[in-house]
Amino acid sequence: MGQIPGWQTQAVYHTVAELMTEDTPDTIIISQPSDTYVCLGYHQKLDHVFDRQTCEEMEIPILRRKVGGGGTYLDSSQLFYQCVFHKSRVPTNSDKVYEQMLTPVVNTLKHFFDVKAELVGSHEVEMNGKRIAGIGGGQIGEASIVVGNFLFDFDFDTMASLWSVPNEIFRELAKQAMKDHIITLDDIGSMMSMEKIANQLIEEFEKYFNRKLNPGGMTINEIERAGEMGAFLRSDSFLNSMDDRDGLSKRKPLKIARNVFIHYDEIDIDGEKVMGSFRVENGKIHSIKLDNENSVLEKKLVGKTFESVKK
Amino acid sequence: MKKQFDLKADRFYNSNHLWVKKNGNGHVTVGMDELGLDSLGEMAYLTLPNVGSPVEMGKAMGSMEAAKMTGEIYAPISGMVVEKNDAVLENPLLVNEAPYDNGWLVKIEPINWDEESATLVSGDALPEWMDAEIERFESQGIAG
Repeated sequence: MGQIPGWQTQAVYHTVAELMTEDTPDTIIISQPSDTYVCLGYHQKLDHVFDRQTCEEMEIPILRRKVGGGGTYLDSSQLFYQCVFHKSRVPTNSDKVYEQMLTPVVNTLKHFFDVKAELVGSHEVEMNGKRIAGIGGGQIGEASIVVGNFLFDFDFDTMASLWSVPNEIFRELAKQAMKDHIITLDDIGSMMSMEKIANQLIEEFEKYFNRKLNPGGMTINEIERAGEMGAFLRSDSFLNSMDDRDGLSKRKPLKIARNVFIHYDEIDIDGEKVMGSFRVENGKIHSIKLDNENSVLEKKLVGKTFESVKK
Repeated sequence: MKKQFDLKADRFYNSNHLWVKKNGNGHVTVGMDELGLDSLGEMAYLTLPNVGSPVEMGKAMGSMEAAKMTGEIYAPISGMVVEKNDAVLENPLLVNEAPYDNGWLVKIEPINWDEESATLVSGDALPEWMDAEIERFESQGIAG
């Protein structure tokens, strides 16, 4: 679809999914947002993820999507792929769905770059051991969906400034973790255009599914519905829809990459309870900033399993 | 070798891999079965209908998210929600850990039990149905 407004990059695949029946062709949408926005995962509570006031001040719209995953920062330095297939034509096992939709993505990276590109943990696309995409999936109506993106460049500072965080120490810890674990095509010196990547991606999808992709636009019905869908995804009622849900009241750790989380939690050290921000990698504390600024204790905790020190 | 999944003989099942168990007081308990959960992965989020809400067979009554994949939870039976499991809302992993016990989702007072339960799978039909479902889960939509 080329470059389209940010809200449309979400509205279009939701619409195609919503209107899908067994007779509708499976669809892969490739697009680039012309403007910046942030997007909540379906079940996330807005105030646990993004700072509404900062988003408003920076004029960055917030949308919620109906597919899973975490809060994402999306801008024109990213190329999106959104696979919308009828549910009867994809595996029932979600790991296998991801494998089918993401193997062509990995193969696209391998085609152009001399890097270790792979699908790990069933739904993470990594390059040289770092995350190069945000992935999410879901079922809407009769459609099964997998969405993701190629990061050509990434504005770490702006994304970090939009997070809702318990304190600024948490933000800095999370921002550093993000810089350590996310890689962009710019980082590997790529000069590849989005068009070239998009064309190769189409070729890889065709090869993998052994089906010719037919270029096509939206139907009039889809265009009309997409406008309504876009308004819904940005509406206060949908953005706030998870506010009062049971079980969502506790802030979840911020996921940075596979097995990398930032926690804000209370720990118990010899009977003393201390709050702090913890960067936890593969279950172990990588780095830590305690609210009481006890640097001696912070050093002692590095390397321990997070579960063992949690209250 | 094919994977094996536990099925409790005292309940009814549907193709969304939800189970329904009739309780002594006429209410039914609803949960997810092992095969369905195996295909979804570890549950991260759940939403369930509030107590007092009407639910209609085949219509969405809640949602779930596992392995970053979202989906609706469709009511397996029509009626009124009389209880929801707060424990699985607090800890969705409980659904994976104890699908037939503490990992239940809601209890419903059914309004059309005789007719609707006849469309579910139960009793002697279970082993053959399960084999066919395992086969479907292993073969459906495989490409590449």
